[in-house]
Amino acid sequence: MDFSFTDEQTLLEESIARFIQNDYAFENRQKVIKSELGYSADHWSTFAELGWLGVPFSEADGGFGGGAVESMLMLENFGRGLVVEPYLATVVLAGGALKHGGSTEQKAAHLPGIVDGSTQAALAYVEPQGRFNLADLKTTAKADGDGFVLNGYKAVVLNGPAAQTLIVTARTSGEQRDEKGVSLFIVAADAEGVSRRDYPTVDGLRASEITFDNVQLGADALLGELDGGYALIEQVIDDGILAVGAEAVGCMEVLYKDTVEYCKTREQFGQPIGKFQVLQHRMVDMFMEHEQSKSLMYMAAMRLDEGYGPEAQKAVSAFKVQVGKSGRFVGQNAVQLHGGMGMTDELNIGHYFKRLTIIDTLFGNVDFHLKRFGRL
Amino acid sequence: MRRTLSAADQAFYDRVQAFLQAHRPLGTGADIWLDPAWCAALCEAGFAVPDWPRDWGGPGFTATQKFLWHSACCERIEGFCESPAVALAGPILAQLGDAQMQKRHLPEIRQLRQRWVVALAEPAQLELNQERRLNGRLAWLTGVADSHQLLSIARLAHAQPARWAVFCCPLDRAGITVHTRRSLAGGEVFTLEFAAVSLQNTELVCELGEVALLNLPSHQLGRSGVAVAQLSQLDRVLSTLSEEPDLETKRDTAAVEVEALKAMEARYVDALQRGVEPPFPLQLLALKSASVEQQVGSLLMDSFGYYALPYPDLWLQHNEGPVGPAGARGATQAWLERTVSENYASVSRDLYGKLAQEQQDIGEH
Repeated sequence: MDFSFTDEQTLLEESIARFIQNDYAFENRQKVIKSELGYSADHWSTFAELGWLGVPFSEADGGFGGGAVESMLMLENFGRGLVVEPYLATVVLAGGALKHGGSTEQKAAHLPGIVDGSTQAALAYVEPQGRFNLADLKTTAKADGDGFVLNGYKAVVLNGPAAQTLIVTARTSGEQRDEKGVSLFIVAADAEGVSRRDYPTVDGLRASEITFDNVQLGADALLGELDGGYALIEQVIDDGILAVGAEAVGCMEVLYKDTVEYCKTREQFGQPIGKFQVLQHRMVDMFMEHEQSKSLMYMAAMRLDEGYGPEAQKAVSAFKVQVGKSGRFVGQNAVQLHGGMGMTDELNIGHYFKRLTIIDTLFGNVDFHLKRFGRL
Repeated sequence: MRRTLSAADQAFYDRVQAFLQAHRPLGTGADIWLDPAWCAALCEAGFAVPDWPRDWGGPGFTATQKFLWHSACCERIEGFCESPAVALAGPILAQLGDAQMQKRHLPEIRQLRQRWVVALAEPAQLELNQERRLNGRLAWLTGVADSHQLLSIARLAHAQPARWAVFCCPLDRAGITVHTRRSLAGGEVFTLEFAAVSLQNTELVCELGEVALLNLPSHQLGRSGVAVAQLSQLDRVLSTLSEEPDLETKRDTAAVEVEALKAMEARYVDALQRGVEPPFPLQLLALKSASVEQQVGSLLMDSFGYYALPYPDLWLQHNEGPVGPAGARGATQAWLERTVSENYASVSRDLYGKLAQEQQDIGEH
């Protein structure tokens, strides 16, 4: 066992931590999420300049050859800063689908734009009836000559408003919920027949409902195997779980530390409220929840870096279960221990809580992953 | 980052597993220290005093090796607990005792020939006067009936500010009266009454002020082995039941908790191994392991259904054989007795207030 980081990983971690500390003040974030774009283009350029957008991609693809541990380190720090820039949607999800499933030509066509920051992308995989089932697809891609015709509807596509490139799951054969018969396609967001309805999400991000109406796709739009895309989307989502889970761990750390500090200074009955044992116990429990989540985060990252398979999937699901439970616990208690101030929009506490609540829902909640954990 | 063991640690792990495969103590819990064959095997294999450094005459295992040993014992031996002689008396004497005392006791402890009761709770109830006589009582002790020596603390009469004496003496010393009561876990808890018990100069380990920081082995690392064993028992029960989706969901919830505990232990051990500051206080692991043991223990009882009802003592007393059809739902008489007792033992640890105190310690930290 060795939980230490390499020099390169430590440098990466420190550079992101510095950025969050110096350039990502909560007040500025609040202004950014109210802007038309919903994130800072300047920050995105900075991410590209510092090489962060290329971290998970191989050197052959113009990246830095990082793995799950590097992704974990980045997102944990993004969580501490409540970063709203669409790293998850563009790099981890859409970029991850290209990384794991793309041909040499597809990678050459799309990854450089992601790495240099010029391309925004999104993964369109959720359908209203499917809840967390990745195979439950009504969207179809029917063979048409050499290519396909795409029809259907995708819900809550994160970063949909800004994305120029969409990675879309669709059924190419089989029944609505069959794992066999799922395929992925690369679709230009401005292709004829693609229409969007954009909206903000409760945690300060942007998403879209996207309709595909007889969208013509060439044969080169198919990403990965025809009918064999379920394994690919599952792997991409598991990478996403590690990423949002790490973000949640970063959020929890801020919440418990801020809560401890607040309880040391807020006075009631002539003494700091942190002196009350009943509140101390609650903070110990918050600390415990954070440490449990962090420990399982390390295990999931190491398992993913060892190779993707049932053991990695199981570790990822265990981590997601823990993050879901811990996130709610830490978030709720942080708000309660802050009292009325914890409820206000001007304090960061409630915003972290909102993000943690959404992270529980993203990619499958506690119940879903508990079942998956038990099944694996 | 690397989740797997180094080649050297893997070899150690294999050695531990082979040893535990080949040697199984008679009895469970503290009773294993009464089995001479088990004690001899430990001594011969170099596992008698696994936490002792070389300068106390121990094997000098690394933090990872100690962890591997403890977690394997917790997993493979029912109700595994350390010998108080090895875990407490030896390390205290090695750090506070004089050379003569160490020469007299440490080899005996190292050879697992001497069993000790170590009583560090409620020292205010025992007093040592200027004539070196002990008066008062020590309560909530275990293992008194089978042990040879006592190590404890007494308040020095007339000392201002308060000072304490650490002492050791044979348990059969004149003036010590033993009172016994049954514990919730089915075992015995003892109270020792001291009436002008004479203490010799050579039995006084040292005098202390208010605080003494000793390097005592930690046995919180590796407790996940208990939960792993409980979980495996639970799986065996579940495999014999008709479909029980609720229980299975609870089982999976507990399994995630066990995974979290194992991961926390691994992080802590790795920090010790690398000589860096641990990521969290050790008490956090004490809290977590006790809570997980209770959670899985309760679930085991749930899974037994009606077979959790019979009281173990009655079965032993009448020796009437298994309750219910043989092998019904996998619940044999002996197995029920062990697991139910383990659950009660786990709860009783909480009742003694240990967890609340640990939580308070972390809070203040």
